Amino acid sequence: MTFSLPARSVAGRHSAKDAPISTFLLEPFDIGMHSTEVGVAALQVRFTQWLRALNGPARFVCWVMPATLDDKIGRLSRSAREAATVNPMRAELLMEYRRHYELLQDSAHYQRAVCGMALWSHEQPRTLAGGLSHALEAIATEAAWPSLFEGQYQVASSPAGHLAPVGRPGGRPYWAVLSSYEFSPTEWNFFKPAKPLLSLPFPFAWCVDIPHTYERSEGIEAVEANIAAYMVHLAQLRGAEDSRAVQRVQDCRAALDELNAGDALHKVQITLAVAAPTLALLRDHVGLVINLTRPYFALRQESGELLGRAVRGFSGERTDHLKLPDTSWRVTSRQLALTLAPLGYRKLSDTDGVMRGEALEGGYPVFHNSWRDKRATHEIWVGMTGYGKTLMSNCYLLREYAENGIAFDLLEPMGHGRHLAHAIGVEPHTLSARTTTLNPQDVVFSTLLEQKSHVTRLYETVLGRPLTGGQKENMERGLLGQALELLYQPFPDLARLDPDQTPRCDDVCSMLAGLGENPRKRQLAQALADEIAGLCCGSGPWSSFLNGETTLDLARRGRTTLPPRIFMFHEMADDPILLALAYTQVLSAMRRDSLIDEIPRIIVVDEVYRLMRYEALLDFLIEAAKTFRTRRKKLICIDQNMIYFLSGKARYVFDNSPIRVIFNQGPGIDVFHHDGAFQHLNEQHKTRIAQLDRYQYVFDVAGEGIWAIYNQPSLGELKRFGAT
Amino acid sequence: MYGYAQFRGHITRREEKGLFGIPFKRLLGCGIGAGATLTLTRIVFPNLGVVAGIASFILLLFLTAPFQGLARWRRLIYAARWRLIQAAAQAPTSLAGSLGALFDLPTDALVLNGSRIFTVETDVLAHTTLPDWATFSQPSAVDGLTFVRTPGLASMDESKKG
Repeated sequence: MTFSLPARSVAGRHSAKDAPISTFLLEPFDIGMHSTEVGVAALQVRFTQWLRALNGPARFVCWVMPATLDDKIGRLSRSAREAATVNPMRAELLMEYRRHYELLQDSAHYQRAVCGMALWSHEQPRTLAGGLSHALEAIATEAAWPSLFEGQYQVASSPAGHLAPVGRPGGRPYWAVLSSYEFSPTEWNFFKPAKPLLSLPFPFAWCVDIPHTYERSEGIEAVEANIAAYMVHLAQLRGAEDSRAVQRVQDCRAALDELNAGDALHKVQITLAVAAPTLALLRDHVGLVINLTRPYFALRQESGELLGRAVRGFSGERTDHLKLPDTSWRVTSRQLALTLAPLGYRKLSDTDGVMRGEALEGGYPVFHNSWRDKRATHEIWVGMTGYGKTLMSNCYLLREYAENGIAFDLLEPMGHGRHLAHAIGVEPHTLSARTTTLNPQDVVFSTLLEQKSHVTRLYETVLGRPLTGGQKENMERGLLGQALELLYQPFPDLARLDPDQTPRCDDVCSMLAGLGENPRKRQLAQALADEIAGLCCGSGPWSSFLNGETTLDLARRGRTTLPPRIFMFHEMADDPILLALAYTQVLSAMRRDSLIDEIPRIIVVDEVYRLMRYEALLDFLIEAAKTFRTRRKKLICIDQNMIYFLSGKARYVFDNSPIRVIFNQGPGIDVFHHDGAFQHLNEQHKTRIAQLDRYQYVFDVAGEGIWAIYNQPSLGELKRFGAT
Repeated sequence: MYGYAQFRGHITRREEKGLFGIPFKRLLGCGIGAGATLTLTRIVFPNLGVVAGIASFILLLFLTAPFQGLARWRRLIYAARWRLIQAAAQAPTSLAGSLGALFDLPTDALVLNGSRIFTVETDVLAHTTLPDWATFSQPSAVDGLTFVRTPGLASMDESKKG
């Protein structure tokens, strides 16, 4: 079946002159992710390809405004005041974070950047946005542009052309507009001249106006005509020198080569808007901008009528309607591509959410709020040992707990959780083969059927064989279920069953030994009871761990909220059976608690491959990844290598985790080249991942962007978690 | 492509050697202008022709001198227009103000309204709406499946006509 879109075919019949305007906002990307020779070259190719296909006027604008962390600091102060009486420790943490953000703010000038593109075209805006997103590596959305300034402004000519706010300024700055009129023969790249300009600590806007793109033959003819004119001139010199003309001919020939290689010829004009709170400062800012750009292009400070017209360059008004004197320059697509460099300078976007670290390129703090949606967003963290996963997880959990009051469950195999437990004033649960007792009959499911099935699974783990598959095993399963049913019978409301009332392993064995309506079943029940008792009761190897009242508080006991819980498994790492039993009990309790309400909570599983070794525990993870998000429970799975999440059933966990935190992968980087899930990462992203240093990571949020981040801990975090 | 590019001089405009930094083209233009002035002046004032020619040559050189990408004569015209606009807006009864009004100069250019300038008119701004999409099961089909702006009304109109 074929579909055709008539709008596309109609587009060709209209001229660009009467084409409607479509405005887009573009989310800048991180040039730091492309900062290799191959990376910037590939970026230039992509931009160039898009510009070559430009068939109407276009305008690119980047608005850069100074930004502060005041919003964040204010929010933390309010939260600290509110928490002071209820949770003094959290209030103290909040004040500590407030000081951290104040320090960050004092040590840097942050900016906020918005990029926009206006296209005059008959094409569908949605199609154009798609093309922009794909070609410019920036998420493009159909949206109106922001205003360069608010309210009324007077065009003033003295001391130099500027715009002065009319009436009470109310914080509105003075503006000056500078237009390019001559480009110098200099080398441009994605860092020069854009980077120093975009780092200026005052409001600033950069506009690249492309009023006309020559038809291919028209462009070539224009350049050839110029070459011919120069050649005539040079021929008439009769021995005299004209090095400028010779250079111009070379320039024209180089441009001609590029046009013949597929580039288009564009008219381009760069307009800059500069702001300052006073006229004296405005003069300084204008001088600074002119000096910074002088090696690349010359700027004219507009005044009078031209100022009023030039400022409209930051709106959606067509260039030919502006009636400005034509001081545009002719550039080829590959040159023009570099004027769009501000797209690569992502700045502080929002202070909503918790800080994930500082951007490697730009040094601005990256905040992310993964609780904006009604559903939670799961995360996968990968990275080699020693690259900062544990430190990062401790910092992240502490920030979420302090700033948003979000509690967590941390399953941690190394014992580093104690630092976090100490920081928030909770007692960590250290599971130990010697000191912990974990009654398999503890209630972690709400229905008897589920609870029976769960306990049976635990006994299967203890016995090391499944109670299913053969006639004998099926009968054993039935008998065990019958015993459990009889033991739970006196407690109709299982959720209210306290650990001291819960049946123990020896109760199960006693009950089991008395079951069976015929000799065969009685014999089987007796044998099973003996087998379980041999392992779990008396002097059995797991008797102290399993037969007794649980020393780990996993009971819900009707509580509406649960405090943060930290479970450490480092003291039972040697016994895989005990580890599996402990994980199963803890995870089952977490599952029960997670599905009971919609209070946001984070469940972190460190060294997740330890779970994945057990089929049943992997199933739990998959179920958690699929169902927890609807109950606002964020699952964070941490491990060393991404490959663990890409094979077999573990892939379900990966597919349900839209946020990926990628530390250095070492040799595991190969998976990013081969797996289709990483198609959105280009070669430079992969190179960057391979080159990540300690505490640096790539923060990949599906549909939002990719950041290269350095986890910058606060002084308090460093003090608490430095040992990890 | 290498991630960088060499920007060049103007590739569609001729910039050539001149005398005292003045391109031959401009000297030639001024010379022609001065010659024309000389010829015309000699008709009326035969004795002043040469002086007028020399003076006009110098004046033309001065007026055509480029500064910040604009010829001086253009800058003078923009400056004069701006004075007339200011006068027309601030002192409409003055001579300059009357001249400004006579030339119908835009007096509203003095004050810029941010909310008006930077708001793209909605009828100009193209938005993707459902009726913009027309889907055809076959490329040649004329009356394929289309989204209409007023669902139901079109068919009602047709049935009334019928």
